[in-house]
Amino acid sequence: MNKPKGVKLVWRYTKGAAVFYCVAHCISRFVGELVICSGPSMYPTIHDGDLVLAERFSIANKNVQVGDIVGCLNPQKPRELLCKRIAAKEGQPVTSHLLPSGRVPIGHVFLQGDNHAVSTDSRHFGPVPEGLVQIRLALRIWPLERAGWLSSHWFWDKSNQKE
Amino acid sequence: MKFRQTLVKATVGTCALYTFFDIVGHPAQVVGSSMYPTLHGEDARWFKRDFVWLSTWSLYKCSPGTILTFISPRDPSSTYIKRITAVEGQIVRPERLQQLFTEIPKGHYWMEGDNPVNRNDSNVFGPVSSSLVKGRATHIIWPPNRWQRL
Repeated sequence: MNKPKGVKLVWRYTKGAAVFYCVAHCISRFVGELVICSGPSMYPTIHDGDLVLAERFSIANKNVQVGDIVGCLNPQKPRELLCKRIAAKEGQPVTSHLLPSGRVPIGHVFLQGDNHAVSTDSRHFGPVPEGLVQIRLALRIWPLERAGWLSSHWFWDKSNQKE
Repeated sequence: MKFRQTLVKATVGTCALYTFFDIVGHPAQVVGSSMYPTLHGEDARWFKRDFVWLSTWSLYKCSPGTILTFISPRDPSSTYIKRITAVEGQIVRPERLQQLFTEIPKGHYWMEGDNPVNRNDSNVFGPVSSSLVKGRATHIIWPPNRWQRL
């Protein structure tokens, strides 16, 4: 087999890059991705600049539970991912001046950052639709001395989900 | 060896198809009569309903009149197709909600169906966040005799 040259070589590299891009896109869409968290809103749990492994199986499996840390699209700014903890799901009681009924509306979740003082969350923009929840943060991998699980259940484990 | 090659090719092909659907656009079928004079989706037989082409480009700064698909704010597993009737900063008067006038918050759309008789739209669930928007209907691609731009 002779070595490819010129246009053929360029074509081969382009094809390789396209295949790599498509496979990477599908993995990040269906499996999960690496997220670099920024901002102080989850401070004691996640610091600014932590590298976290996030998965999408629990979203597809409808297994997002109260207490999970999720990545959620900002309802006011499209394509901005917020990293917050789910404080309450639909129908559960919540105290907020934005909710006169005192309960989270149907199909919505109430998000709250761990750093109550600085976090901009559902206390400011109200409960968000569950369709905005994109990924669930599962494992912190960087920095190494604080590496560890962020979630308390597997994505298939629905045992402690309340009806 | 032959089998493995076929498997790799099929996987890469599927990934390429999904990537194309995500970054360019994809076809979808209209189900339901809420967009009735514009889009026909009321028939129970699937081959009598319309197919539209949904582009995934320029979803976030749309003007009133654009037809968009979005994930329902009440049920994350269903997708709706509606028309924008007002954008952020405008003031609307919902038909059924208690409050008389609502200002549409930042980054939200007011989505209404074209069919005034049967619709489940922003008059019921309020303004829709533009982050929920998944596609913009650009063409009717099926049936061929109604092929047109939207």
